[in-house]
Amino acid sequence: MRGGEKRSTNMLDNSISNKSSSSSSEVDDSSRLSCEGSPTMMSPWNQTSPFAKPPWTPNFSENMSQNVPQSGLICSLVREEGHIYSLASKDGTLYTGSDSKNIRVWKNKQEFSAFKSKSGLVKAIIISGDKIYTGHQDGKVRVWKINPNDLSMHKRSGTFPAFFDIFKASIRPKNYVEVKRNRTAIWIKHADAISCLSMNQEKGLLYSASWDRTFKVWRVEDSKCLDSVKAHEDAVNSVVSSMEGIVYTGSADGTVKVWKREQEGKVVRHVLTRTLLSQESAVTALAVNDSGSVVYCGSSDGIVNFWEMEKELLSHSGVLKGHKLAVLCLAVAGKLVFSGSADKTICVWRREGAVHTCLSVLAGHTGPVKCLAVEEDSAVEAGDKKWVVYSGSLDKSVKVWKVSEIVPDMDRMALMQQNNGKFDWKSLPSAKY
Amino acid sequence: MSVKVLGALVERYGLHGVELGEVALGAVIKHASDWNLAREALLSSGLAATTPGITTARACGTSLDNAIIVANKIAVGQIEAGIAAGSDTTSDVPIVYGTRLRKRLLAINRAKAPLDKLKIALHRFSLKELKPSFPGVAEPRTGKSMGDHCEQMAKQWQVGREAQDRLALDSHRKLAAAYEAGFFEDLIVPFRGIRRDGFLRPDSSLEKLAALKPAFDKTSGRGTLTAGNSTGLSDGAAAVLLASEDWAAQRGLKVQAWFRDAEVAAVDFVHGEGLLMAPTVAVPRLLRRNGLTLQDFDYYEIHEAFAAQVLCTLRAWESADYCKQRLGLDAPLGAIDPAKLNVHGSSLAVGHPFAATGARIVATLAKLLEQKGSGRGLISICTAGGMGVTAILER
Repeated sequence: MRGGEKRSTNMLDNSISNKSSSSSSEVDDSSRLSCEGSPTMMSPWNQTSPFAKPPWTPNFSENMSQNVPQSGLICSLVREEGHIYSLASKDGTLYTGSDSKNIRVWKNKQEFSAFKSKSGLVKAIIISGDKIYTGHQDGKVRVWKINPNDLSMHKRSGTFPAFFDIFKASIRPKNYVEVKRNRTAIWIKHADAISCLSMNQEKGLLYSASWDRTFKVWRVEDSKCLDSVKAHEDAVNSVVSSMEGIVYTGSADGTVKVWKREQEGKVVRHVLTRTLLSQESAVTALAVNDSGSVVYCGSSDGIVNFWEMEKELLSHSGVLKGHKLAVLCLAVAGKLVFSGSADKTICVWRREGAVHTCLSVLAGHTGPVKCLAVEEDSAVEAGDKKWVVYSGSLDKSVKVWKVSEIVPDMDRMALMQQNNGKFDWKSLPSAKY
Repeated sequence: MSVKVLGALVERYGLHGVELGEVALGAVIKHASDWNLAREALLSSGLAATTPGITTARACGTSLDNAIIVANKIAVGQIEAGIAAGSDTTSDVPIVYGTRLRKRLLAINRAKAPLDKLKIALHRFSLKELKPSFPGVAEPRTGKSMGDHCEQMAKQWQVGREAQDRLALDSHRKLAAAYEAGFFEDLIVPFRGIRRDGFLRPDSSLEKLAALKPAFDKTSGRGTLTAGNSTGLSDGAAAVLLASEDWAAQRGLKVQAWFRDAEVAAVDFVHGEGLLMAPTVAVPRLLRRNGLTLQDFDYYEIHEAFAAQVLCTLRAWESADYCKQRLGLDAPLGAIDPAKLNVHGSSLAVGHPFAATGARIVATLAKLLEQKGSGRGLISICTAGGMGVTAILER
């Protein structure tokens, strides 16, 4: 697939080069850019990116365009309020958290509502049913309930840990653990920023990872902290709850650890079963596919490692090299894997069996891509599964992309590339096995 | 911390047992026994024992000055490579006894006979002599602290409270974003479990900053400098390795940036000039010598001693009057692009271990230029005593 890789990334080069040239030409395909075309849909906070125009028009003939998947930037959501640190999406509703106090809600690429948190810098967001869970710089998880009568209203319904639990735990000295040099705190409270949240819907458990080197497990029903695991030697940057009680954590100490949840009566504990990775570079992001059969790990050296389940055992299957700077976020959707990086780009990889191919590199952000959220596109054409990708960046914007799973017809792409005179096989991301 | 930071460079670049041409390291607040700090630190760092060290001090500009010292030596061919560093522990300042007790103890030491020693010890002894003398940050000649001086500057240049708070908030947010993006991953060395700047307040807000009371002018009702928009005194160390291109090539080391030029200036703060305005004088000289304008930079790293100091500096460069009267220029230097200023935050968020700040800024700017691939950056550091140290890095 090496040739395939190169050709698919060639499309990327073309899209990048066309992006820079298309910025001077107006986008007038209103059916493609619904958020731009209709005055009633216009919001002062929407900006339509000149990059939204499919890069291969108008060079494509009608016949050619039928075979080319429609992928690319849909629009940018810019609030100029703060660096975007977290995203979550569900059924076309997008939640964004930044270093301001406001958590913004977007629908149909417009701002729908916002709610304020007492503590700013929302570092993680999870949507579960009618509840939103936000992880904050102050080490707390806040719970928000959507008003069923007015979906734009969100009310804070709780905090993890709850005040009463803090009070109860504070009374007993044995509940205090050392969190920093010469400093103790109660074990149910994170002593540093929360970096990541992960929900186990089946068991009703929320996992929170923190820079205090622990991850904690919360029962969402009653906000009780069931377990606190001193997991790593450095900040825990990512936690993912997978199937059958398996939990993965990634840390700035360069390790990825696998934990198994065990329950003995009311007591829940997590036992380390394996260290998947131990390296110099910090582990910055983790992602697991829906079936739990493939685990991806992004690192500060720009590399994505992945493991595949073979006979109930994860084995290292290769690396994806697509970025020049740290990988900051990962997302898996269907056959696609998305990696966002400090180099301001998002690599889109397609997994076919044991093989990963880089489909494209989404460029447009002017700052590091800090977070990703992916949803299946509801307007699906037969045989072409598409995904809506939201990318949040430290450039204070969120970009909305549409990405198709179909591998484009490379011969036609190559022909188009040659016609444009922009063709470079060499500087391409690669997957190594 | 000095040993730690030098050792980190030794580890990173494989300098074990290597003799460098110079290690210039300074500290502003140090004990008398640390008179040879640079040499003592490098002897514990892993470098060859035949590496010379020089201990320096120019207040907040110390380690940038050390970079100038080492760079100049390399440029004239005296040495091939050296380290510029700085370190300060403001949380553990030396506390000394007052003059009377000091003189008594020295006299006791000089006396030969035990009876003479006893007589000196008891002669007109007062318990007041035991009162320790704490170091201050006031200027000896004016008796005012840097904050007092900067408060005056803020009034003179009409820099308001909100502008200062906003700059401070930006600094914190930019630094937090830089940490999130992994920028400091390979720049910061953990020390005693500390891996991040402790001054950083990522969830600060204008409301929180506005609630702080003035820290220096507490009486006139017009004070604008607060703890939030003034840099905090902290502990830290920083070091940079400088070398000739040949030396770097021989060792297979990639050059991050080139140290192009530097300039130091001073102002007569005793007779009315702003204590922290010296960089406004140094930068035009630097620009003129290099045929550059103030706008010819991709990055501006201006040490945030106080938010007001940065804003006064920028206003001075934009002021036709100031540029003509004080700097002798026909036209103002003009404005800088705010998006290029302290792009990853600066001292207001990082904290200010006096002597380390210069090397921290050099390291940050060099990495920014390396990541960008090309470009030019301006460094500007004001110092106590009415001096300013500035430099240009390029790639």
